[in-house]
Amino acid sequence: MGDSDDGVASEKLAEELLRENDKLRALYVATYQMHSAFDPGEVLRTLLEILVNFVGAKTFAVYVLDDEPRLLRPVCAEGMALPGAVALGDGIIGRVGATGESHLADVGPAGPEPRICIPLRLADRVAGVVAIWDFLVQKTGLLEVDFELFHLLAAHAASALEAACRAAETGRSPLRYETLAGLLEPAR
Amino acid sequence: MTEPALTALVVEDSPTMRQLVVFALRRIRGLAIVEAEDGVDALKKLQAQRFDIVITDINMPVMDGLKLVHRIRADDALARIPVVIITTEAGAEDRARAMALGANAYIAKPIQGPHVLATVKELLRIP
Repeated sequence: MGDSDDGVASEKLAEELLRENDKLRALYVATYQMHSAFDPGEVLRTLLEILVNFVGAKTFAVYVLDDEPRLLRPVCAEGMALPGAVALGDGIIGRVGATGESHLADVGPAGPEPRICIPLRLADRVAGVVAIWDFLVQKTGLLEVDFELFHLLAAHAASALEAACRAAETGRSPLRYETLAGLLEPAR
Repeated sequence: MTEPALTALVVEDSPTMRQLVVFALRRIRGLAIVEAEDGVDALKKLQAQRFDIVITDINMPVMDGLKLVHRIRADDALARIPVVIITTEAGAEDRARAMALGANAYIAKPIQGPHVLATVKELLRIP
């Protein structure tokens, strides 16, 4: 392999490393911001900011599961009016809520059903769903980092929201020595 | 300790987006980064210290990015600072309006770190 081949290979590697670095940076910032919020409104705001600024989503809504009567109720929306509640199992949103399996179609014309639908998981159950109908005009396709961000939101958004809800309910952070010691005691 | 050679002002109301831009810029060795939450906050900071580049969002409360560009270009002491716009508005008209007001570069969200880095480096003449 000649010098010019080496040069091309090094350039390709450098580009790949830059892209990887960029992806890790986005994932780190998204995780950090989501878990540093102690107010449910702030967690939802962070979730919206990630979807708009990092993914390039334009029209989307976040639903949270209402256990009785098993409805996914919208808690916030961007680029659209707050949509109606969806019964578990109904359409793409209800199916994702029921199965916990993501629905991932690439960027394309917006229709009545969302192109992307991600379950928000809390341990082994689905606590909510993010549905994206449309993307910013400059977003021409989904990148590897977008799928990583969807995966991250599915795994972390609900737990961040739950921790913030608990903190808001009690007026303080749920993590205190006496609480933790009490919870650990039976296992010792 | 030596003073940083160059200083950038990142103006963005979203803490999440601001952090992403700051992290991208941290790759430039010797670049000090100051953050502002909106146009008014940015102007205060621009009057308090010297900056080599401003990277700003458009849609912000209190004073938006386009008004900020206008104010920067209208002030003799600040007029020569390069300004990069980072925004969700990617239409040709939005871009033309920002450039007509005096922006030096226009980047549509979602951003790619290497693109932001290359744009800022070019404006700061960093090889």
